Amino acid sequence: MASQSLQRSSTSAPQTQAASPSRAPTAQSRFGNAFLAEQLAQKGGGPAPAPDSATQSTEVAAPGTAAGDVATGSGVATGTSTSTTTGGDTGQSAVDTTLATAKIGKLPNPKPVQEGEQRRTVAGVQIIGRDVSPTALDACERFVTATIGSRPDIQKRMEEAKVALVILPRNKTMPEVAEFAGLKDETTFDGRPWAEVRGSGGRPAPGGLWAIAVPEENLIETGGTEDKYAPGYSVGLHELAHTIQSKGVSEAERAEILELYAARKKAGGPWTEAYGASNDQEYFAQATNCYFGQNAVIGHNGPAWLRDNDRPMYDFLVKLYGAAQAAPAAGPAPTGAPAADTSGHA
Amino acid sequence: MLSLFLAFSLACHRPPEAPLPDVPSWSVYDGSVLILTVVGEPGPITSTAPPPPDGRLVTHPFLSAAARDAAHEDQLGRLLRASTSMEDFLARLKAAGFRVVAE
Repeated sequence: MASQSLQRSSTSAPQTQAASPSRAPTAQSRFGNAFLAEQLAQKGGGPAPAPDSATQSTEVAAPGTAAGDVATGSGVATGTSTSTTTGGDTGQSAVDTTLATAKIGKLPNPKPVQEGEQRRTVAGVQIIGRDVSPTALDACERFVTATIGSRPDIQKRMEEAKVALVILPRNKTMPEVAEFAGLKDETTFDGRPWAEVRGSGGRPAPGGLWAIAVPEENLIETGGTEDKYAPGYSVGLHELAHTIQSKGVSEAERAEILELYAARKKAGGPWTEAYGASNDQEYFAQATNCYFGQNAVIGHNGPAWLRDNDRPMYDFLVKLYGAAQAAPAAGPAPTGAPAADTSGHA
Repeated sequence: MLSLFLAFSLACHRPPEAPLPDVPSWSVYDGSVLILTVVGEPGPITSTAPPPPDGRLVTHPFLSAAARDAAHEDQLGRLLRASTSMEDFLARLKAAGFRVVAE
């Protein structure tokens, strides 16, 4: 049932594998599935697919720009940026499964800031940016696809929860963005002024959205604006992981995360770093960053470290996110794998 | 001197040890919204904000806690800073109208 919902358009094409309650195999999704192969072929600017297909996305073009004129930045086609602007409900865009193995992180050579609002829906998650570079939305699309792109059940739950990644423009504080205006003049629980914080986990926002704040300067090379985070640490991935845990995974998976944390605490570690040891939410989010090689400087980094030091969590993440970015069972990391462990803590 | 410094650094980065048996914990709600989880042992306090860029963890002398809703963090932080003990904090939470549920 889960695989029917967001891939509702896939019923129009023959399925080449049995519908899985959890995930379609990556190889099938990428090349063996005739429907997805067709959609991927349309990435190069073909006509927008029919509304009941899985490839519809809504892009609200700024005045003076062409709909679908969205950067890929890195040159990697996204597959979701070429559809025409539509009104009404945002459609569900295709999942570009070639992004499953794309390196997550800052995208270089971003396109110029685009005035106005840009919106996409990828794998059930809305991506919203106002007065940001379109490349920032591309970057979000990458880590959304890499995490939940092969899990239609999670996509469905995320869509139902109206999960939205809201990009904080590089030159605006968080409270200056509409979805987070309520945080003006306030501090975090651990004492940081929200105006100085760049990102947050999900919170209710206008329109019934569950809004996750992601800083633009952490998504793209802005060439001047200081990213408070070191290269190789993804704020967006960390924050999305919190919502994946709270709203995306099944009840059984949520319980398993709690069990994994309890077991790890009983064992006394090792942890990705002290921050990841603090509670089950940070344990999961930081392990996610580590798994995707986006935990640089803050803690241990890379799937190989996780495989070798926290095998239960590693195995869980392979099941959850798929093996596309997993470390090999043994031996050296494959070509293009995330950077080697840059351990810093614990 | 160097060895003392290294020992101090290692001590600062030592992960929390496994809790003692029967460590009390609570969930705090505003209506039906979970806003805070609390454990009755000294340890880290975390926000819905991302980790600080240096990964440094803020710790507290009489509890560990994780904020679960950004909109309440400011008030919860003020209540905690005004508290002198775990019991005092729980009482302040209840006085503020939050529902405190023992786990």
